[in-house]
Amino acid sequence: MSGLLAILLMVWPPCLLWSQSVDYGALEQLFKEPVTTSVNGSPQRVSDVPATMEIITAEDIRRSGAKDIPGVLRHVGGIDTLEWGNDDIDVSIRGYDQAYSSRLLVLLDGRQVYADDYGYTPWSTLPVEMSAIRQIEIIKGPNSALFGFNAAGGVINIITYNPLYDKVNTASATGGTQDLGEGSLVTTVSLGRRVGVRISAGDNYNADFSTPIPLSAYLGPRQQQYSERGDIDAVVRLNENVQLSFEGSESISQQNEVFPAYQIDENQYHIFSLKAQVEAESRMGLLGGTLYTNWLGVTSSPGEYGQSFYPRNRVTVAQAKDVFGIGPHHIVRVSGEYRYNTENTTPVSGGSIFYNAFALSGMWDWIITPTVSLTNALRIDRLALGRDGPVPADYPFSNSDWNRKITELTFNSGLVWKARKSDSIRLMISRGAQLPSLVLSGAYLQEQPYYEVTGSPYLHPSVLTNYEIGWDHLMFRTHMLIRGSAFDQASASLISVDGGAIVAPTKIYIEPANVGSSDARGIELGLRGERLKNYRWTLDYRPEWITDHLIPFVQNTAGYVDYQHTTPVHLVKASAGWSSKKWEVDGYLHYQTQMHGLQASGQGGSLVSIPAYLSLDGRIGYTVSNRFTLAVSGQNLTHATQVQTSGPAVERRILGTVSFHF
Amino acid sequence: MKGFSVSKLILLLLIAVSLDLRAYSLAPASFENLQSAILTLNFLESLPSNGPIVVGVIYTSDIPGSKSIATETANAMSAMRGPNSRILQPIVLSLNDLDRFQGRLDVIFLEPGVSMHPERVLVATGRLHAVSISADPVCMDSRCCVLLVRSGQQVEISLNTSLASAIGARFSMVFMMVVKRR
Repeated sequence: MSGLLAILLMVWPPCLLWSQSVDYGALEQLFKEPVTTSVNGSPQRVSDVPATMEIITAEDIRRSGAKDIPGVLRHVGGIDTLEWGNDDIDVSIRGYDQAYSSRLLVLLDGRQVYADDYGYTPWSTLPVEMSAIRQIEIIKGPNSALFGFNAAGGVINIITYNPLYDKVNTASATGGTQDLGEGSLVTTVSLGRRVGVRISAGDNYNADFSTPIPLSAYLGPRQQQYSERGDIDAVVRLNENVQLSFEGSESISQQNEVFPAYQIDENQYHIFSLKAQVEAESRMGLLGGTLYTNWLGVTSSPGEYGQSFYPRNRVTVAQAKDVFGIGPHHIVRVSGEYRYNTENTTPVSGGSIFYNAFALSGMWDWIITPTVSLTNALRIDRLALGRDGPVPADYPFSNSDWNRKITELTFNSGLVWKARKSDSIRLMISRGAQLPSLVLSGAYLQEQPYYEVTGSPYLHPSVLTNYEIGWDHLMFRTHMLIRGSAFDQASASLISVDGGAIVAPTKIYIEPANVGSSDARGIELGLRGERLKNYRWTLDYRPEWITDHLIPFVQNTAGYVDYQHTTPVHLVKASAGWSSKKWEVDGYLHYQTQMHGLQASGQGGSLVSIPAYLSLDGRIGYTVSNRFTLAVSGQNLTHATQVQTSGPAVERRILGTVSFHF
Repeated sequence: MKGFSVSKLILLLLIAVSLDLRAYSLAPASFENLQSAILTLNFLESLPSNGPIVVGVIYTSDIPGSKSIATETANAMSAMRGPNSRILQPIVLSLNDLDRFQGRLDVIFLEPGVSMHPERVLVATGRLHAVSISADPVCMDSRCCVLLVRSGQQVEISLNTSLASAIGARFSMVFMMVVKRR
């Protein structure tokens, strides 16, 4: 890594003039709205972005009363959550939620934090404390032209405070039901005016829910859950021109999880990451270079047929970008990315699956008139897949079967028309791609009594095309925002974990396969009460209709694929809050209509009905002094237990938190 | 899903926009405008790095009562802080005073009406190398202000890049990408 940094610094153009990375706080204070770089790579006001986007602020996070990020996200309109346990929640955008949800790209300050083995996000492993988060940016719909693979259904970019500009010093302790205990510390140290370092650490444990595990999902009793995490984030202003930042993090956790075959096992994670980034302003524009590596080690037990899984994954990403203006009406971004990803085969060991991927992307933001802008982004990914190591006897593949190249073109195009100061209309077309995970590409290799299971080298990326129109209207002197959008999505080459079979001379291999397509149409309607002195409220409604078109082999949920019946047609979320100098009171309602959930069965999967449900979360906070805050919060308050998934029922949770700001 | 089509919804949305559920045209909130104008100085990298920031609050005698408005503006400004909590030092000047002013001004804040005399403002800004800021939209049309800052339904900031360049004003690139450039 140091070698690359040295190269970056050596080749850095000598014409640097001035520097300032995005100071989100100063920009938000000026524009009275958040600023983001998550849509097209250049800084933009949220009201200007050519995407349907939600930003959750630090205040929203605090007042959510949630103990983790999925708890915050579940209050956001259009977000689906499947809460399997106290720490195991699958999150998706606009439906298509499933166990190990993999249509979502989750980033922490631009670094991917989803687990690359299955392409899903184990949220409790994220090395970030809630009080260190400045904002969570949610982009609905594909955004692969900026972020590449996995940004198919949407992107969640968690932005933390910049230790150079923002001094966060908070310690908190939480206790609650399910024997929950948590401690969290965030402190920022300034070394002169040029260096800012944020150190954060957290530790939590809980006993998970005690509701019965459905027989179809039962592999053994649930274990105690815990998570320990630490993160160091340093930003160095080398001079007025260049900023350098480093991040190192580690997390160790254990949680009970529903895996893609809809059974519950216990996963132990050990994740370590290192990241270096350089940013500068120059005559050539806003320049940036990023290099990071994530190491992921997982132990899944008891596994199927008593065979534990030990996936070890390493991903290294190098990125370079330049964002520059051409005249007053054009902003252009060019970027390149290299990615190396590798994972061992498991539980049959000895092999490894890997790929090298190169990507080039460009974005052109054209301000056609003062009220109309057009943004086009294009990205091409070229991926070379490979495998090395021994293969089992009578295996239907040889290593040369993995010598494949995949080329994928993705794009985002968005037109924003500010029809009036109070009205903004967005028209968007995008194409995203979801890469088959390394597990499904061959890292999963298991011998079972009656058949074998393997990943496949011949999977195609799942491709999602999205057409969308959005409208924002400000009313009552900006105190109310009406937000509407309609989307029409087509997902092709859907991937099923066991959608195919190969008959070898002495064995039958079950393998993943591309199993068909799915269409979704939906509307999102939102109302926001904003900038009111003491009150705030939201109301979101999303009707969505999904139609699957699956190959006969996996119809009737045989391949653990069913989106048509497992996405609620009607999803309503509402919140109301009141605050005074000392008190904050907030409530959050979630209602969804009847749907189905997948469960394990002898045929690979079956549907179980999940009744419509209404749940209530809430928080009451009291500011004792400038330094002390007390809060009581709860989730699923209306019922002691409630069925929300095909897994165990969720339990009511009550938490008490003491926060100390120093 | 019977009866639903995106085209019908688009039509409904367009109708709703054209009906204008309740259109508000806000009266300029002068204090908010001023606050936003001062905040833009956080991104003005050519500002001298030490000492108080000297701001000329310019009014024109053509408009009755404009001097008292300028005085109110200056008083409000005195209570504010600039980048890195630096003190703001406002000086109330008529346009005639500005023509003859020989001291140092880092910024000139144009009260409404001043932009009706763009040539005189341009000469002064060029001579003093001061960044001109106004909440009066006329200033951008008459090309006599570097920044137009209005805090209405949304904060509107326009930057005259050629004028900024002519007087040697340098803004951070992030800021330039977020504002409207003319």
